[in-house]
Amino acid sequence: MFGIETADEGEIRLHGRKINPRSTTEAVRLGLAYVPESRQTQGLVLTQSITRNLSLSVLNRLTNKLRLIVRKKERQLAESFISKLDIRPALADMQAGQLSGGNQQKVVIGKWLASSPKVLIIDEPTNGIDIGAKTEIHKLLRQLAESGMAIIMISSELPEILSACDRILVMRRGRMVGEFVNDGVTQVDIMNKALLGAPVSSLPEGGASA
Amino acid sequence: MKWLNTKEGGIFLILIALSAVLAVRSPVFLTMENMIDMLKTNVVLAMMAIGMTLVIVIGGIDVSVGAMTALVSVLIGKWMVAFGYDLSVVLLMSVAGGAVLGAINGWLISKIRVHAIVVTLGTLSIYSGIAMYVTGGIWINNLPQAFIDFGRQNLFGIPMSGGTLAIPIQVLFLVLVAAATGYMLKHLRIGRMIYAVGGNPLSAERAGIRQDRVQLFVYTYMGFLSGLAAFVHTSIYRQVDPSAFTGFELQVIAAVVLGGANILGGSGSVTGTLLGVALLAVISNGLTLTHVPSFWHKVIIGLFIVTAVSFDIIQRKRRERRLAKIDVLQ
Repeated sequence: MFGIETADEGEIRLHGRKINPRSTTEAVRLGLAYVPESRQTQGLVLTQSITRNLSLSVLNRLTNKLRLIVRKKERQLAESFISKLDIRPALADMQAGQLSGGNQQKVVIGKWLASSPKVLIIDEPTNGIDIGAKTEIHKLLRQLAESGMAIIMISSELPEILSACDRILVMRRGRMVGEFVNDGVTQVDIMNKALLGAPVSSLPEGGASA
Repeated sequence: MKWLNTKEGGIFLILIALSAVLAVRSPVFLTMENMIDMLKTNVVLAMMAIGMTLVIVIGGIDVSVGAMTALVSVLIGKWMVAFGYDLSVVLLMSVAGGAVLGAINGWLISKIRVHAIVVTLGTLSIYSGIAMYVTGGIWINNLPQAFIDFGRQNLFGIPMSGGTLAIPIQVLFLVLVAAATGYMLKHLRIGRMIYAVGGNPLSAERAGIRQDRVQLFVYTYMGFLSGLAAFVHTSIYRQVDPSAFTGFELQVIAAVVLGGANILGGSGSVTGTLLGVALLAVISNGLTLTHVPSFWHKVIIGLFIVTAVSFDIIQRKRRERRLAKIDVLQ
């Protein structure tokens, strides 16, 4: 869906318009953002500073007329996201690799928020981070959703899904097997679908392999 | 003195210490003549090492640099003998020729996805083979007088006790290359992309950066600088030796590594590389001045590289261990 692998079937619509990103560069331009499962291997450049990680997906917006990067703008961007996401320690020049898991995840999310995407795809957002940061990230996602951003969260942690999502799509072996609106759905309902569910014949809108 | 704590600062301190020892051992070392001489002999190495820094920062390698420089030298040498000298034509020919050779490397590496060392080993053989074929292995000597005069110019003279001290024009090329490349790495988008691709190619791709384009750019730029180095080298030596750069790639890579760049990619800087070149220059100049047999030069330079890199890795590990402790405490 983010242009990393092409879909076997199905189509993607954004605001009713059919899109088909063939590269990540194109996906970013279309307003998609993808926070990958593994922040260390796919999300961050660990040897670079927080600032440089945050600015990576929006370099074209930080340049002046001569296409030079304006340090001041970059700095402002970094500081604003560090305070908005409460990244600790709040040192813009600190190497991303030196942060804790939760704070690394915040940098990855911040990097994508900087690109102000229409759709945020977030894969296992709270994998391997501490409870405090987990709650903060959930709260953040909720705020973003309320501000109008579409968020697709991919997760195998059921309590997380139930507490965070409005609509739940269950996939099994790459096929859509169930759809719920999150009011009174239980973990058992989801597991039933995930383990026993037959493929849903009509693919719901938005469904495709990521 | 915050910068003394950086990698570059460390190299600088080693450089100063080494120079101090040499200054005591040899009265010639600190003379301006010797300094200028060292500068002139290493301008070409420095320019190529600056290009190699970018290659190493993206986690690549280019062993064809010497062959590219040799082939471009032959090309402009043959041209000047046949058609005469015109600064803009010859200069343009050097950089364009080099850029094409580099782009061939870059294209094979980024589009066909052959590993950089395989590609550049292949083109090393091809480029130097062509240079040998075209010249028959014979030096080109009869370069136009106008070109020789160009290479003899000085930027400015500094009056000194006992004559004037002249800075050779070739130094200007190095200054321009170093300034432009340093600026590019720090302030242009492509600079950020280079560090991102080298630091973590997967994250860079996910951020919408096209790795293949960055690679193509970097190898082409390396070729561009090799071409410029060919021009500068020819203007210094006033003749073309098709085999002058055999094995030179090792010196270029050594300078970059000594300058603190991580051979696995992600880090490295123009300042560091210039210090690495200076270190190599001071070591070999010092060994010559103190009459160490030239066979030992290579051994000693090799020891320096192994020690410097090991030291760097040990330090990095120690830093990581300290970090792990902080994590537990939280």
